[in-house]
Amino acid sequence: MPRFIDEAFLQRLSNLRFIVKGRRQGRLSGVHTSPRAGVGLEFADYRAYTPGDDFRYIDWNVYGRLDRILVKTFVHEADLPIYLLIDFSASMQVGTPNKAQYAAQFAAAMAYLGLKELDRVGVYPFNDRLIPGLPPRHGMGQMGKIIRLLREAEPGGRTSIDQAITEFLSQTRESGIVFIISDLLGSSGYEEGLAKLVHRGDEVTVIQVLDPSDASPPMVGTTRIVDVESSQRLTLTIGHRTKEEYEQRFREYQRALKVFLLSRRITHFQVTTDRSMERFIHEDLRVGGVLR
Amino acid sequence: MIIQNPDAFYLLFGALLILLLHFLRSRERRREVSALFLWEGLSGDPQSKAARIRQHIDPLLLLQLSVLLALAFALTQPLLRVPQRSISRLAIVIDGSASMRSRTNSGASRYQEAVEGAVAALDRYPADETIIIQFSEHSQLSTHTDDPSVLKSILRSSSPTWYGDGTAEGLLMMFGSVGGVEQFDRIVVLSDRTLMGLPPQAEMMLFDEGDNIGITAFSVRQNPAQPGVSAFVEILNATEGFVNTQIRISDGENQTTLTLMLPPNAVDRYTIPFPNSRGSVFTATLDYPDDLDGDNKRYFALDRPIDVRVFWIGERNRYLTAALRASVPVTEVDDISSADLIIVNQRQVPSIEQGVVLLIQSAMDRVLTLGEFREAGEIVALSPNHPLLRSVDAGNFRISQIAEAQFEVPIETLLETDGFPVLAEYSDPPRRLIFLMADLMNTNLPITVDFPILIRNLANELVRIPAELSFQSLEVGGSISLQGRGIVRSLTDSQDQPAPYSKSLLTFSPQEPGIYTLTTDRGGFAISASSPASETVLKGTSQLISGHTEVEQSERLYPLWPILVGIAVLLLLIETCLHMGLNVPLRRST
Repeated sequence: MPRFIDEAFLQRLSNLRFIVKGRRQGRLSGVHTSPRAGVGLEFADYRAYTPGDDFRYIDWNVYGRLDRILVKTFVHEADLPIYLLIDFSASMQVGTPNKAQYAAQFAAAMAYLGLKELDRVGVYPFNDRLIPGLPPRHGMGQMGKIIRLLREAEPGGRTSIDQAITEFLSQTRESGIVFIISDLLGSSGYEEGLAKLVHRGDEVTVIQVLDPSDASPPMVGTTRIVDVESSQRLTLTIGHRTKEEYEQRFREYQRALKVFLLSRRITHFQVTTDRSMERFIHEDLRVGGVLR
Repeated sequence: MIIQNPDAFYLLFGALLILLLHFLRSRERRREVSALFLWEGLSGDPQSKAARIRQHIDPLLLLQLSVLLALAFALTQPLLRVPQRSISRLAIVIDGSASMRSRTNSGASRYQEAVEGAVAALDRYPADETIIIQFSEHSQLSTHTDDPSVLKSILRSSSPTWYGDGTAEGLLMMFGSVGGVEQFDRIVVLSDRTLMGLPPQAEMMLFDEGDNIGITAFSVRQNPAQPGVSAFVEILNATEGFVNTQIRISDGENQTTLTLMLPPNAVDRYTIPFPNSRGSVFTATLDYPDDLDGDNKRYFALDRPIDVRVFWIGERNRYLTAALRASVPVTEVDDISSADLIIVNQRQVPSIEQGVVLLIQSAMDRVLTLGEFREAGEIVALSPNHPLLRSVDAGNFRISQIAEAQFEVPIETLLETDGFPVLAEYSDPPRRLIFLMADLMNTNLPITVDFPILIRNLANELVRIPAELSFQSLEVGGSISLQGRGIVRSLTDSQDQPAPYSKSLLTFSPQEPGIYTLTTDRGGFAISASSPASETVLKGTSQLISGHTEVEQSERLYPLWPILVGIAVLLLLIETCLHMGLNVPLRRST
């Protein structure tokens, strides 16, 4: 049985860390800047001393010049919850390796990066609804649970991103970094759910995992095309013309998706399963400003 | 192709079962997609005929049918006839006899054409090992090699001999020296005549083109009653028409000619008087430009008689001398070591350890002691068939007295009287002793007609002049002994160049026609050697003419079933892989 994820691969990711675009509020100390002033290394401001403040933060130089006791405040380095929403609908089982496997491995990599930075990481598989997952926890103990969950998850059912996100929002009150890993090829829509996420203040990144045949199907002649989610069928002769028509339609779909995501300031990455995941993380995600 | 078990084709009916099972299965080509909504509304491509066929033909079905076909075909045990091209051992037998010197219409000799045929055979039958036999009366084996360029070089640098034809038996014996004919997969024989009795793997290439007229026999004898000689010639006209030609007989100084009209395909014999000849070496030449020059000339040398050298001990007896001279040329010598015959007449001599000695009423130390003389009675021949007594009637001999003798060596008594030996022999090579126990002058032997006969027998038998001293009818390839004419000094050909001969065996086998000169301590002797008469042959009766090869292509039967079984196994593996889904592209497309 092949290993779900290679430890050496994870080791090679260890020098990466997430880039958080805005200052996020966190409950525990982490490496992400928080809008709350607190204990940290980055100077934030001065405020008047009040009893109970830590004497170590009184700026004695200012007291000498102004005769006022001021306390230095620092940018609070807060931990951020990282939510990994992974599509485990039936459409993710298309391809070899199938998209679900690729998505699960990517999610494990992101979980490792988050837990390494002392962030809390939660995993939420979904199809047309949220599948019981793991709420955000920190520590490497969470990593084992995540891997077990991802390895044992089986794709199935239809896709409903809107419904899954709605349920996700109801289960989590704290905003954070949200990765939505899906092929986004469900017919039920994604706009409403993603809009709700952005509205709550989450920093959303959509990783669109596709099989090469999703974008460019092979010309296989007359074929009975079966939707893996709905089992609906359609008989077509896939030749040169049909292939071009499909590819044109797919490009239009992708364009619409990008326009929407851009309008919501949602970061979007498209990756096919034949691309090396390590290169995708090291190259695409770093260039795209998700990791540094 | 040979099908050994055609019943196995019935196995092909199994295809019906495969087809039945195939059509009973669902043959739907499916392709699962992530989202059908992207496909909805597409009209699809028009389906080509080939695509429709492909749609209905399952590659697995084709593989299954192919496996069945291969297995059924394998069970028929097919044998493929393959011309034997690549062989392990090849023998090129090229006729190197004198007749291969004949020119063909192309201007090349039969031998040159045969060489090119052999080169073509080398290309046609590339072999691991090849031998070349130049086949003739004295066949020669070339070096084994597997390098075609070396073989071709050997062939092209070779030339025909003047020897006569070899025989199939001789050829088989030659093959015996290299392991036997069965060691060779292919034997290519290139000759101007068809060889019978060749092994089955042999193929013949015949090169028998060309017209020929030749002298097949030539001899000269001295006229008994008049000066000069008479020549006898035998001429073969191997052409299809009458030939008007001329034959010349020459002795080196004088010559005589005769104009001839030769009938087609016939042998004619002529006796040609040559009265003004004074020579002893003759050449017969046929003036006709035919395709084989070698047999248009023949040689003949009259034999020069050799003298018998006699050494006397004691008084010479003129009767004996006369009888000897009547039998053979005689030369008396003073050196006992050079004598062919030592005659001891009424003497006591020490032991003579070698040579032929005739003791006439003589004694020899450690051999014979003479006693008292006594009267002799009737002469009786104890060994009438002995060579010394051939044609001798001893009953006419009368002897008045003989000496009683005591022999110390075992003798064979040929004639006796009253139990006492009269004529006896003792042979102890290299010494041979003949004892005559009576004084010739006390016998009637000199006046009998049998005495010269006895002496001739004695001379011929004791001196042992070889019968093969006659060199007249020698042909190239034949062998003669050079013994009996004295100590050989040299042997030269007509260009006065040394001719090879066996110094140990003192034999000579001429390799080219011509006049050779043997020089011994007894003078010079001419040896004539002509091309073998057998090489003056008629045109081959075979329908195969030069340039056409009698190539009986042998074939090897290769069993095909192992290949077919291998194909079936391979197809089964492919089908298994396809079925197990290891063929990713196909899996994706379905």
